[in-house]
Amino acid sequence: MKTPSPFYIKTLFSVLFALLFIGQTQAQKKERLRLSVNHFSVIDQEDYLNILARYKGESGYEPVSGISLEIFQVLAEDSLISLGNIDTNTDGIAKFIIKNKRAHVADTVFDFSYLVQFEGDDKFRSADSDISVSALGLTASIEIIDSIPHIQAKMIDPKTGEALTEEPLRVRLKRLFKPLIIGEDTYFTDEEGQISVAVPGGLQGENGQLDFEVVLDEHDTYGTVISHVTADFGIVPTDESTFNSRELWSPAGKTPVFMLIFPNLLIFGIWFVILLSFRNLLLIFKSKNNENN
Amino acid sequence: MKKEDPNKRRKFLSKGLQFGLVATAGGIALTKYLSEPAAAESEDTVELMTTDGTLVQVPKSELHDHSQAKDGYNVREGFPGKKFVMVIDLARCKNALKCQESCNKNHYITGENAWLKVYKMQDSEAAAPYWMPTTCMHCDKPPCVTVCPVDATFKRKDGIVLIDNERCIGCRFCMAACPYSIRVFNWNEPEQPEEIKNMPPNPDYAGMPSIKGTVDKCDFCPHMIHQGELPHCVTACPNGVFFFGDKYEDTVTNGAETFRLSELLKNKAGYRLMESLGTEPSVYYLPPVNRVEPFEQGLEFYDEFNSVKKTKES
Amino acid sequence: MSAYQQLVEELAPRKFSKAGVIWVIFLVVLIVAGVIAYIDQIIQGQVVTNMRDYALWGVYISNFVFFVATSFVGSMTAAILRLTNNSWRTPLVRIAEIIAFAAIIMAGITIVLDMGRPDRLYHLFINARLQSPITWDVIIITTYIAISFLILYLPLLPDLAILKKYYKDKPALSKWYGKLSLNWTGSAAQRKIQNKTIQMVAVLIIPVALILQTIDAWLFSTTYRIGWDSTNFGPYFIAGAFLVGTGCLIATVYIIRKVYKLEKYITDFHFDRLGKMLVLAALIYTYFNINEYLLPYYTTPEAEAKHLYELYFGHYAGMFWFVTIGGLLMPVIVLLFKKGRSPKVLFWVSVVVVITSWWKRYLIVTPTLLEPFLPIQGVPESWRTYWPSLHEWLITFATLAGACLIITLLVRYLPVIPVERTALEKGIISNGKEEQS
Repeated sequence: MKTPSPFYIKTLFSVLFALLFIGQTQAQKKERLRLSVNHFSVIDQEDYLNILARYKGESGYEPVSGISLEIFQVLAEDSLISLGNIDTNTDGIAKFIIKNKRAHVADTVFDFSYLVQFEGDDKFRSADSDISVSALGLTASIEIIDSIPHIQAKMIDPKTGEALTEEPLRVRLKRLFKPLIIGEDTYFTDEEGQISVAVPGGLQGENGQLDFEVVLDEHDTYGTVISHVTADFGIVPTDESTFNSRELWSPAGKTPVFMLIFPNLLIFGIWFVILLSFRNLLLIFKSKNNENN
Repeated sequence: MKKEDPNKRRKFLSKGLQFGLVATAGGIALTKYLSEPAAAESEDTVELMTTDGTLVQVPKSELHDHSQAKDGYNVREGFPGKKFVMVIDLARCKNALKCQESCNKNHYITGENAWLKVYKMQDSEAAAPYWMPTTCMHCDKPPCVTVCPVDATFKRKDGIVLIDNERCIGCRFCMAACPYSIRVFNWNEPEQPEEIKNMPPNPDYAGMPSIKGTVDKCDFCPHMIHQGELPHCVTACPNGVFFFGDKYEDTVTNGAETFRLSELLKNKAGYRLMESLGTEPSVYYLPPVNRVEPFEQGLEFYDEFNSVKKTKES
Repeated sequence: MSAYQQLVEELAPRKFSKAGVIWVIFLVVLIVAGVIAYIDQIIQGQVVTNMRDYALWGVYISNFVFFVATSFVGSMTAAILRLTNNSWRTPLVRIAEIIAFAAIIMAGITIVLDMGRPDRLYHLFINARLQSPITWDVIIITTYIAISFLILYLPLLPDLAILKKYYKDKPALSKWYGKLSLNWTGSAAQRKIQNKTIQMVAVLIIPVALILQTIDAWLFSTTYRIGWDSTNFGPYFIAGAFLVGTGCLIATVYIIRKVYKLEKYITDFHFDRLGKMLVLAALIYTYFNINEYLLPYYTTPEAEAKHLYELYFGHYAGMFWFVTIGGLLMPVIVLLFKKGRSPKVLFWVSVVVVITSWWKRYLIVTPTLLEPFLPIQGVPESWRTYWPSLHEWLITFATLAGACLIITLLVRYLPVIPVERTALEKGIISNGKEEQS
């Protein structure tokens, strides 16, 4: 067969080259967005998805803020039902509270499946991430054993009522910025799916209130599950501030007493004489020469 | 008339086609480049220059008006029921200076003296050298507050010492009184961006804006505490040197690790700087034992004569 | 001409000579230069000075301390005279009062020049914190201005009345003197009020003057800083004020005597006495200096030892020894001799005393600030030293010129030697009536 003429070869290469170039410009522009999703279940409160959107920049992972994500629940036969939209904040994080979810589907490995989808924009390609979790029964309570309060928790599968053993739980105390871990880092549930952790003494809380959490962290089946239990045996902290007392460093309205008394006495005493002197000057001015020189 | 060379025509066409294809590809690419900046303006943003000279587009929603706070919050009283303390672990500090960078950047510090300085310390000739970051100590018996004649600097119930830059008369007595050399003065008009300069001054967010002829210092970031976040130095440190928390909760955290304050201080022999002066600082130090990294590593970043990195222009 | 008329003729204020006019113009030029520099300071900020975050106070403050110190002797001289009736002080007392008044006014102005935000001055009054030493300073300076005015003005009244009569042929001037003399006729009622008031003010001025110097010292000793945190500072500053005030008084008296040809009234005897006063002041101040700078050598924390070292042998040694030898040792030695207390020698000695006193205040303010507890790091190298900038020098000289101008103008229009009292002491008049010679 005759080899194709140079004309065709050149044209072919040009077309291929052009397409590649166009394709590259599209592909070069758009970054790959990475979504990571964690499911949180706070017993008797709310379930939510914690979504982090990042991309790999020159100096490591950078958050992607202000992008819109759509959250779906995945039902039978991969049908999707939209649960809502959310935007990521400056740190690239979105906390999506799950409302109106459909009942769990029977005969599936997991109870609930969700899909987080990003449509794509000028900067980033479209991306999605899915997560599936099952419901967990986690109860936490406080028992006094040997006059020491203990945090106790029990983990069961809510469908079968069966206790879940050898699962890692953590006990934390809610604090202002980050929670304080009580006891060891991890406690494994025993044959009855229970743990019991002694609460160290001397914990302080506003009005004596202590807000404990029993946490199952990032479990493959259940996601992250948190169960709260509040106690009131905390120590009420004493107000150490000197704000209300009269100190050297207090504002003008709270001068120490000796500083109010002594200097003011001096000032008034001295100025009384000064003003008296000025009055006397006036008297001198006013007195006419009643007497002869 | 000669018949036109068919090859010539073909050549012309082929060249034309090639050219056309390349031009189209280039044209598409060109429009992409040109359209990019236009697309970025889809959200209401503001262009700001950071202290290292880069221009950033910041969504207007991110510029917080920090003059608004929760109801009942009095900026001179502070967060009720709390007392803030900081713990600095000298065993971990390697003079990475990320704390200083973050503080300078987030407070738009443009002078020649940073509010957070990492000192190269050596207590005596035979003793080991170490790096010591210093913030304002937010003393419980603050000598700076005692000497202020106009109540411009004040001690709050939550332990934080702040400055009202609209009251300050610039007498600098507080700077003379502070034994930790923490305070800086705005000797000239600070070189901050217009957007920052037009913000209403707020003691909760020091340096936004800085005012000529007044004093500035570390504020323990109440603007971050309002959002439930740790101060900038705490989060910026790659080694977890800074711990911050509420003394009444007896808990401090560096973002990754959380400890009971009393245990931390007991186990690691925490102390305060110049304790014998009786200023009662709110910043504790953990001694530099079992150093995480050798002291010499930090010498690379040590600049004896500079603590605020200037923009490229100056 | 009667003795009385001759007295009045010699003591009445005279018009400026050519030298006087040139002197005033010179002062005004200095002041204008300072005002321009200050306006620039307002516009650009205090970056035009060489003060920075470590040397946070500079010549403005040391100048302020100098003025406050100078204002001390006026009150002491006047008060002691009024209370003891010791007549040798009579020709000197008004000059002393004038110096004190001028100095304290310039002190008040100087401190405002140091403020970063002088537009917020009113906060010092409406938002004042009584716990702050600066508030005490504001109160005591205001008080002292009022009192030194009173001690100057009250005894002036008879002299103003005399001048009103003397300038009969200059009606405008005469009217002013008349007004200012508050219708003084010398009546018994007026004299009674005047005497009583002068007594009151003279007694009051002594503790006020002492408090003023003490509070000035407490601006420094209420801080933790090495070299300032001293229990010695209050009396140390009082003694320093005594020295610089006497020095200023001697120098000013000498110049005025020469210009107005008052040798008949201010004699060698007066200079002899003044010289002895200066020696006494120098000796007392030496005592306090020993306590402040010599004794700590025995046992002292390391930082204090370093501070002393810098003064004795280090960075500030030249200035320290100039101030100590020139301002303390030299006067004591020279003035122990009678010849040393002759007017001319005494004048030059007191000039040296005043100059060294000014530099002494620089030594009090600057070295301490440049030796903070924590090392100076992270700031430009120039921040480790301090020397005043051109703006600071211009403003400083402007304030010194301002003080001189106030003194000059007061001397121009007021009789520098109390006329009536001199006449009384010389027996030319008695009970307000002219003695028949």
